[in-house]
Amino acid sequence: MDCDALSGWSEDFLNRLNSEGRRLCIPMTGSMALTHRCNLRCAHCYAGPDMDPQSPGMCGEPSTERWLSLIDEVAAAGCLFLLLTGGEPMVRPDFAQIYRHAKEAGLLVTVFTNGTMLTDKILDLFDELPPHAVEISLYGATAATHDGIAGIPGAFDWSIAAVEKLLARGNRLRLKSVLMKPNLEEFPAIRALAEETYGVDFRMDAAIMPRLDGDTMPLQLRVSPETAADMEMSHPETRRKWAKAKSQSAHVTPSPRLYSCGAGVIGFHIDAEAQLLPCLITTNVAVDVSTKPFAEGWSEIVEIMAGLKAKTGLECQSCPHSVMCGQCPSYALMENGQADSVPEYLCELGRCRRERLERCGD
Amino acid sequence: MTSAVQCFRQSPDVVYRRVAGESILVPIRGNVADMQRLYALDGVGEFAWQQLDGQRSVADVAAAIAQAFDVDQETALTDLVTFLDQLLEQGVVIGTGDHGL
Repeated sequence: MDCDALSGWSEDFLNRLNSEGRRLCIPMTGSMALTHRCNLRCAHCYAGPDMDPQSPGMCGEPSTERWLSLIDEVAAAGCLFLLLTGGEPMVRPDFAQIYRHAKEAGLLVTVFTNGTMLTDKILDLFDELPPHAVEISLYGATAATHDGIAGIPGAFDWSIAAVEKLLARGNRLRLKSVLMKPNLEEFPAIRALAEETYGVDFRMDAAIMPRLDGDTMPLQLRVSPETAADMEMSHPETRRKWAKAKSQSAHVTPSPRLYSCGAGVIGFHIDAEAQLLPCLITTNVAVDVSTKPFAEGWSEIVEIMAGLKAKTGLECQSCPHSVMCGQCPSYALMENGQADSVPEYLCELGRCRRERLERCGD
Repeated sequence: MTSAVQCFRQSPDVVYRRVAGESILVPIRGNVADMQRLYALDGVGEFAWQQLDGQRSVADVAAAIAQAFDVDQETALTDLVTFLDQLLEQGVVIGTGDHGL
């Protein structure tokens, strides 16, 4: 008889879970966009700009009862890690009820929020039922830069207030940012704000996507792949991560599947209109679970994704460096209109990462 | 140390889950460090966990284990006491007193 207290997430245990989950196609890790509504108007946001937070529930947004039953259904199907996101999830007045339900179902709940709508009531709830993690995005180290990107004056001060309240009450907080032209100069200061001022983990992303409705306007904000790679490699932790990935490049086995990630294998996303997707950005494979049981929808998603094969000759499938770019067919679909195509920005970013590591002998 | 006449129940601060063939206790309340921890139970541990209803004594549970897993009762009791001590230390079970009291 044994009870292994898995302090700090034993790698062995997680590997066992992951491999068994993949073998049996168990939806262990998922996300729910509780709403597309948001009180900010971020310039780069893939969700689009017309998300009035005052709207009582945009077309098709599931009721409280449906979100609660979906949580029960994903838990019954084997979900362990659940991300509650949006839009801004705290726009929904029933956020606390949904969060509590997910926690009490035994899910490890992470919340993505801009923090601007964090109330004392939610902080009290987090005291009682602590989140696995909370993630907040900072787009600037100053109000001028952050608010300029977020589109709402005062957004920076509200987000910073949330960061400080969450930390003061002992929550596990992570900060993140998207590298883009408007915050390029300030980016090291954003990272320092997270890591040095607040002492929390920080991650960055430079791969801005077109909007889910196809609008490519956010792409104008991208920095060049060279600049993005330079910024990444200037950060020791990020550089170590890519050096490790590079060392594993030779061991990647080409997959006949178009999607070789966990989407539709162990990963799922339910969007704010109750569409079950393999992941947040794979919107062309969807099953409506507004009334259909999650388990039925999941079976359909698994079958569809297993049937999507990479076209013969697609460079990404045999590329030994594919772990360096975050290659993603859905990203290619949004960028090129074709899932089985090379997403040029990511490919170039991957090349720049390799080049910089090799130049330094990593 | 846990004795044979004591009774235990499952703490409401953890949720029992079966995920991908693993039996897991997920802490949902407590401090933040607790939230970064999972408890994996093996087959006998899972069986024992399900017996912890606050009514049955440790000796009763050990007898059930001995029968279900074909081990002698003394070994079952020794192992169960060690297991319960671990769970008590982590705060995932609650003592409900001695059996019959």
